[in-house]
Amino acid sequence: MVWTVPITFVDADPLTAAQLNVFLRDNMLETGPGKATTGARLLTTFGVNQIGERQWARTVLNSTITTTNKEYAVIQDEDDVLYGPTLTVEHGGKCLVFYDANVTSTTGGAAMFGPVFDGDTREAANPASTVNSNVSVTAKAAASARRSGARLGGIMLYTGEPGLLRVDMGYGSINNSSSATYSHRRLSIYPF
Amino acid sequence: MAWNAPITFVNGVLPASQLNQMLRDNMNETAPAKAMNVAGYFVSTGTNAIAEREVLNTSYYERFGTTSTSYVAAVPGGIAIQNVAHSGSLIALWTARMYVFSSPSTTNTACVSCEVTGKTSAADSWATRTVGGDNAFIRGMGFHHFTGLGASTTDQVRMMFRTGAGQSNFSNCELIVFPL
Repeated sequence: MVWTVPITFVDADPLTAAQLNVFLRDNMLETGPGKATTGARLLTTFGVNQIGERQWARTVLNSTITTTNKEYAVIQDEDDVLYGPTLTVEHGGKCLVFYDANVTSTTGGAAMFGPVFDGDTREAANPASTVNSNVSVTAKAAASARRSGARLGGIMLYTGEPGLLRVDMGYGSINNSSSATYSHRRLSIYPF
Repeated sequence: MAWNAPITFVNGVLPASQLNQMLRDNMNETAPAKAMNVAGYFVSTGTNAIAEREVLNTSYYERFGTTSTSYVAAVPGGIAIQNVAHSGSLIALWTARMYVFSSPSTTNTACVSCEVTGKTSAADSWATRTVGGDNAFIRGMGFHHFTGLGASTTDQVRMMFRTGAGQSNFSNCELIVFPL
């Protein structure tokens, strides 16, 4: 169904069932209560005269991982096992993304982590990069330089083509010889 | 147009004026009638009134510093979002890499706060503060729910920076505004 702009009714014109079905039934079904199916979802705009529900997603991995990667890796071994956490959401072009973790880095290095969108780590290869990109992990990354056990995180507004978005947490370290550990790794996404 | 409290219909003639008020005009006050964009959301603007809003953001990735011990914009024009439409309240969220470049100590911190220009000044009460680490590796993030602003379509929300002493540096800043 689609929204139809209500007409102006005129006295003496017969009110037809077709009019009621279009302007009352069908339009009612396009309103918030007509679209709502599940509790605690956001009602957002899908376009001109279109609204719908968006389901948020959140997850946490309490396990501790250790990385010695220089770049922002999402896969921890040759068997394609992910570090995680990973979430997939459906969105209309914007997602509010929160991420944090307890971070410890070894002397001489800096732990860095951030969201990787649809597997695109192209900015991650250059830790010194300040290139602006919505898929840039480097520019968005939370990091710890020779700090121990602090909870650090970041927030960003992802913008992109509407549809499904997969978000992985990517991890790296600035110094080749350094390692970093991460625990209680949280990722929350609120799509619009 | 405005919302009309629905009447209780009774048997008899249904005049066009009732249909126009109860059906046409009220339908035009609902969310799908007001939806104009993708990825927006709705808030109440008063009694029986709603409006579409959208999350806004701006980024600034260059490195910069300040020696000011009171809050300043720190970069020309500031890291700001203009013309924020809201109903008197908004949530600002910000994040930046930050560190004290000179005179670091346990009591000297780099500070990032936020203001609604001309209405609510930036304050330490909601600032993100840290001594930071080498080369601005530490990312801090903060938020503040600004209230009592009065409805507006022209407010500016801006990140503000200061140092405790010496010079503090900042980079990779992002400001997000969630208008209500």
